[in-house]
Amino acid sequence: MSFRDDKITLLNYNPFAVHAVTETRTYVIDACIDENNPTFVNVSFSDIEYINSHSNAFRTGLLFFKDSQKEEIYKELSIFDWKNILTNKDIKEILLNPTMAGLKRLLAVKDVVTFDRIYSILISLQNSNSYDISNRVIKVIETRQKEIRRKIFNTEIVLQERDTTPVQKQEDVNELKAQNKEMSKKLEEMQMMMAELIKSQQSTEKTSKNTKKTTTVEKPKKVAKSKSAK
Amino acid sequence: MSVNTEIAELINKDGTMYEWASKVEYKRNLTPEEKEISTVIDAWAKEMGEHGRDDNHELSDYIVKTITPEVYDKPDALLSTMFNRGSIGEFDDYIVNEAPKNTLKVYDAAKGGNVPKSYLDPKVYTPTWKHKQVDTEVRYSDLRRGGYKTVATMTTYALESLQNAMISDVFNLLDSTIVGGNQVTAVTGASLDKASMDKLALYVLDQVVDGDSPFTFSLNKYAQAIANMANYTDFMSNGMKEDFNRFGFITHYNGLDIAGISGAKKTANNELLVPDQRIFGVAGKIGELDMRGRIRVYETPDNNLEKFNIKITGFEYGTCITRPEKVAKISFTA
Repeated sequence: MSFRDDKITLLNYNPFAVHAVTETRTYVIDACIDENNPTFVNVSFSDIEYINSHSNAFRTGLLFFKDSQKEEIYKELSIFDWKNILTNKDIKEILLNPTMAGLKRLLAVKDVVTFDRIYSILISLQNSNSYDISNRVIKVIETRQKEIRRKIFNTEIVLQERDTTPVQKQEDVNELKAQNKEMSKKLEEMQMMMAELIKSQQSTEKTSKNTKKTTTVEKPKKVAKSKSAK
Repeated sequence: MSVNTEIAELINKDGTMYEWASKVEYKRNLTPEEKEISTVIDAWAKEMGEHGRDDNHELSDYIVKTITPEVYDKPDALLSTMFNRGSIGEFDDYIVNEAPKNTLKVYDAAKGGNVPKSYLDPKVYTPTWKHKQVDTEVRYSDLRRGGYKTVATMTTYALESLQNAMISDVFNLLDSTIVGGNQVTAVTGASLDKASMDKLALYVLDQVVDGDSPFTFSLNKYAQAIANMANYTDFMSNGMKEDFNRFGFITHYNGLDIAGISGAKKTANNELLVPDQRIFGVAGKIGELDMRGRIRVYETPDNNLEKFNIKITGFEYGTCITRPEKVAKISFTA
């Protein structure tokens, strides 16, 4: 495998520094400030194997690999469900736009490391004051954290759908608006047609009035000149 | 009657009863005076077990008077270094006015003019109150059989449970408060390395102000690991090596005291006192931890089931972390 000789890039998307300890040295990967630009460090494959055996940093998604290398590396490390690893973007998406499936996925997390990541993302979103997080989501995550502290790894929290009328979704509203537009167009067209019809009717009336006028015969003028002659 | 007056005298001596109870419980040697206490308590307990009455509620009185000085007058050493301790009345509350940061700006100015105003911004914090309670029972047969031992066991365990619950709560709160940025370092694996400890020490030392004594605390296994970090022995002086051999830990690292908490000691619902896989570094006092009200003990004899129902309540405390920036943590990802 080519990557056994090459250096492998480790990416850190977390808002805190990660120290990757290997046999020979510690790699310091600083905190990532902008979630689209992770900090990274290049390490050799044997270091990756060491880190993987001594911790679950890769299995739980504390550190990631570059897209071009990840499939092969996860296979080599025997991490077969790598597609299901929760990334920080996934977590943020679920917290801001919660769905039943998403929250169940967060509650199904069993290890402390990943749950700490979820909790730290929740706190940073709250502290930034620019997002509106549902109180119910906050309550669910905090209850789960208390469970994990008590080492209850299989959650006993049951989520239930609420029977509320759904809020008008934007697409529905747009659809209605489009329909309204069409209908108003048609209405306009019909109005125009009606107007034309009326006009044409009126114009025939007007022309009929004219013909009436032409039929009026002018009274013949009296010829009086012949009498006054000589 | 004479039994009762003797009990009353002993109960009123500060600290004697708890000392006696924990010595009995942990099977340590008793002084002759304490052995006398055992006989008196034994007679008293057996009398309660025989007749099933405690008209003067001496059992609950005894528990209250034994536990109260231990809770309110002898606070835990570790919590006292981290928090300002105090106590308020049962129906009182308090808010904390945190001294503002110094945000007054200084400008170059010509004489006789004005410069832009800058302001001090004081913050107000309110504490989070928690109330803990223990409900238990003491059977008459236990009082007749064990006598003084039953009483001793229950007192010691009640006090320990309450205090452990408080310690565990406070540390869990601290763990949840420090979640990101410069204050958290995640270390892969379970072994400590010098770069992480240095980062922790640097952050904590930067936060120290006059009068603070910074320290790290964690489970004993990590406190011990600090000395065993790769190549660290090369840096230890002879004095440090002696301390290490005597106490099992080095006492200082980069200016921080090292404190360890037992990994075997657990609360009643099997949680560790300090969260596992963490090392905390604290730069002195970070907030307030106050007790509210006093412990009350209610006893109800149940002659049909032949037991006393004991309810230990009123253990209420409020935490207020006003300087969270003075704490940093290392978390391991084993």
